[in-house]
Amino acid sequence: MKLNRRTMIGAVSATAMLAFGGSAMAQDYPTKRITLIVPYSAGGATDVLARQVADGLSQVLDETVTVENRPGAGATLGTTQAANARPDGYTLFMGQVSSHGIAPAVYKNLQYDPVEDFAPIKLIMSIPNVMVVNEDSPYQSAEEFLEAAKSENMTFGSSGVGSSIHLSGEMFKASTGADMTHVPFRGSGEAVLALLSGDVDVMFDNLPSAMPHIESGALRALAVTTPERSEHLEDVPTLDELGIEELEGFAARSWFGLMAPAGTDDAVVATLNDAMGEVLASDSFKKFADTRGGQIEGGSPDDFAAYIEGELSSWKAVVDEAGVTVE
Amino acid sequence: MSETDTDTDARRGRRREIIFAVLTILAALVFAFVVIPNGVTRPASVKHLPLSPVFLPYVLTISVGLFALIHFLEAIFAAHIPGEDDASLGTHPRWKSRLLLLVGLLALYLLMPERLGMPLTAIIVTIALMAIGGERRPLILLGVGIAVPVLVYLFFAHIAQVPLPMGLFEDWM
Amino acid sequence: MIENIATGFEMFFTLANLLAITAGVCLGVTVGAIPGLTATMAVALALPFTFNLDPVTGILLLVGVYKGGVFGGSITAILIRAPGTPAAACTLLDGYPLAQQGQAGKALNMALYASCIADFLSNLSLIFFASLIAGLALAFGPPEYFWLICFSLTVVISISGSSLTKGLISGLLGLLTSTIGLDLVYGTQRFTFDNFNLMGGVSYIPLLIGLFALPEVIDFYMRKVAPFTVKTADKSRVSLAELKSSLVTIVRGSFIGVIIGTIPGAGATAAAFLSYGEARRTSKSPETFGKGNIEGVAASEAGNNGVAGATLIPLLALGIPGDVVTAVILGAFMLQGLTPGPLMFQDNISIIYAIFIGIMLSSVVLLGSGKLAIRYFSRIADIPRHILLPIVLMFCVFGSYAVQSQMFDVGVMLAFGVLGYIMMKIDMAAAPFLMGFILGPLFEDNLRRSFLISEDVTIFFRSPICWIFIVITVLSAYVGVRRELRATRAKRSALRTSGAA
Repeated sequence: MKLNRRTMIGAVSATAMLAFGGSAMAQDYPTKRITLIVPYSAGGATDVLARQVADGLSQVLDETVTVENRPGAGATLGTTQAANARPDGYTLFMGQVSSHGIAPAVYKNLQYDPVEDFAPIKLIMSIPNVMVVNEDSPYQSAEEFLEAAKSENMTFGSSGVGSSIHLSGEMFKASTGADMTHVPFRGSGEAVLALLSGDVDVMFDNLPSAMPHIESGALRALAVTTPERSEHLEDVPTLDELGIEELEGFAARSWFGLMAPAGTDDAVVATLNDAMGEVLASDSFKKFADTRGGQIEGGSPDDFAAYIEGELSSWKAVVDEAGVTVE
Repeated sequence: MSETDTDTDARRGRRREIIFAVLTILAALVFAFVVIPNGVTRPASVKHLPLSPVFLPYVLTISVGLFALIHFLEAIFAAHIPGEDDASLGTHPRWKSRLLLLVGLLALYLLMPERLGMPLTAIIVTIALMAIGGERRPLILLGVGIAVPVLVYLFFAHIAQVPLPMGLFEDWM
Repeated sequence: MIENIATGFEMFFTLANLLAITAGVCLGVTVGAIPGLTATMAVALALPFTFNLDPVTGILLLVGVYKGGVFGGSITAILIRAPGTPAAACTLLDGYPLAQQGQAGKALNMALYASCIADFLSNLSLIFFASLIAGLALAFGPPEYFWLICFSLTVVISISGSSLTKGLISGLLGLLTSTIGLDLVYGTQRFTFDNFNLMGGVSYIPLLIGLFALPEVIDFYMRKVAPFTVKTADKSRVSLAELKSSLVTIVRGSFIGVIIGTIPGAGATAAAFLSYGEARRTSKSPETFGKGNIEGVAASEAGNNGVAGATLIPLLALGIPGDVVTAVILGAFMLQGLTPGPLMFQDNISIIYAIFIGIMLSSVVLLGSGKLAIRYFSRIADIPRHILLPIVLMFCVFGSYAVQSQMFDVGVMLAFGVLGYIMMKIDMAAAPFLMGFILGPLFEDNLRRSFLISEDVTIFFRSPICWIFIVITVLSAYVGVRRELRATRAKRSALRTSGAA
């Protein structure tokens, strides 16, 4: 209820602003500081990426871009606030697989509409998830693991309920009928540790946090969850290519993209799309993406909108099948 | 202090402890029978009892009730140990009106920042509180009351990069 | 080896590195001292600056900010009872009463010395025993962790104040508050009543500020006369004898910090309280704790700074970040093309040595900048209370808002402020509440994770570490309760004799 009232105040004051403040002209955009809302706390993967993006955009647009962390309720709190922000181009949002893929499927009483409330600007980066086991694990391949998981109970770790790590596991469980118990942790660091110490059997971790352990040999990568192999792990097969009927078409990845509240001027969106393109092409961003095991994306606002639609429907299918919901 | 004073103090102290214990027990009961059943969504099936979301809240509520009961028995049967509250300082003679004023000012901090903006709210409340505290020099009231909130605002907004709400003044910054 | 160390020295001794570490520590101390602005936030803010720096310089800047932040939190905890960081909440238990007695200078200096010594010892452990203790992190699975938290919770007995039952109730209420939010395992709502702001749980910084700082503000306006004015020109210092007598406490606290810091996720707050509990348990005059015992300040600061170097152990040795701060530092390493973990010790050992040298130096820099900070910040104590407290309130509001940019958190702060004031009036200690609130999620998560991993209850007794913690938990609870009961009995008989006379 509180939220609705606040939204109303926001709307009313926004209209008042427009009445006597006058909206920023798209031609000379930007003329003042831009805020980039991140629905996670400072220091997380999304935050670190957002700061990199903010840094790049500041240089390209010649205007300060600051990151504002609004964490809570599995990214849905900050997303709701971004949805209700004034669509003047001075409040942007760091969208990701959680707010615009998983959450709409998992949360029953979501306070925003991922499609209606946002104007997509550009898809920034995607990260594959990778199925990893401990080096001492008896399973050398995803097939062996699956074989074993059909007869005995396996545990899979995740960074929390509703994370892409959790749902990749649920997707695997639902499509193969394997007997797996979800063990949630708070953050992927803790979950990886449990995998290293052998307390959980498997994890469908985001590549960046698993990568160092795969390189050092402490974890064994069995498969990646994207339809194509990752350039960072060329020897590791995709789940799709294994030739297991149930796993055909398996696709789960994490992604990040720049968005604005719906109603933002098209010219502003175009300006930002171009600016973001410049950032993505820069050497410093390429280096960043490379160290994070990410793949740089791009494209037009329409491409991004289509991408979001696809994500929404595929996660919805997983969630419906796995039966994960939050009241 | 005379002996009768100590006696009444002890009796008053004991009564206070008994009231505290009874209220805590009542709160625990309300929690167990109303708040937990309504506030916690239970999943359909749970493998082990401790896995249930209601497990810990129930254990804690029952423990609170038990300790409150022990406290109650202790207050009734054992000698009262006076608290270490420094009574010499005393309560302000007009504490009720001051409390009301304080609650009002705190409410301002809660309700006004999104309309008047954080800096202006801070200026109003700070000046008002200094005045209540006994400050009468206008130079201090206005000087400190305006300069400090503005400087701290600038620090938060520009150095720590935390944009505080500006309310009406959003376009000025 | 020697060659690598020499290269390390060469890499370290540049003006940029020295500047980075000094600037980092100073920034950390300042930001840490402001309630609501935490070390985590300071590290995240400093991160973009490291993008264009040399790897060693960048990492040292962040480490400096982190270490400065951990100490900085204690300054305002001692002076105005508003802990700048959660870990400093324990410092105020004795630090603030000391300030009330006009000995703020002494408390601040002891906090600084304890911090620097603990930091130094923690760094030494990092450098010499990293690979050895790193195994500890791997040995701590959910059941071991569960018992560690049980042991930590027994400290509540030591910080219960005048009434044991009230202290325990306070701790239980803290635990209960920690269950608010989305359930970890099922993602269902608990006590959120459809309020989105509560789904992530009650945020702990507004709770902390409200519980401790706000009651002082409210109390001031309810009193007839100002409760106290810190004596101007406070010249109190730590004497050599005091430092000597606290040394055992500091060393013990440091090692508690190192162990807790090595285990990812437990955090500095738990270490500070454990160290404090131990100091009180072994003290000859436990009743003076909480009323301005300088050893209490030393114990808690040693505990939380002991964590600072040790959290880098799982990061560097295993590549696992133990908390949010080290997660940011991990990000910084990766941006520089370095991957912390066993491989880094093989491939980039000279960078590691250069960082180690810088980290050792950071303890010294902390001493210097801490002295400076104390000199300036302690002037806060000279400001008349009726001017200072409105400003404290403003910082509380700004700081609570800053955590997540939510007005809701200002409400949380005010609500817990009122609760804190009521608790103050009914003589119920607030520290157990905080302890319960912070340890609650760790307690419950690990209990439930253990059940998820194994169907069997025997998992709770699976390793020697479990048994060690079971034994010391039982002992600590038994000894603690017996001691409190004795103290109460002694007070009663004293009361009876004085009544009879």
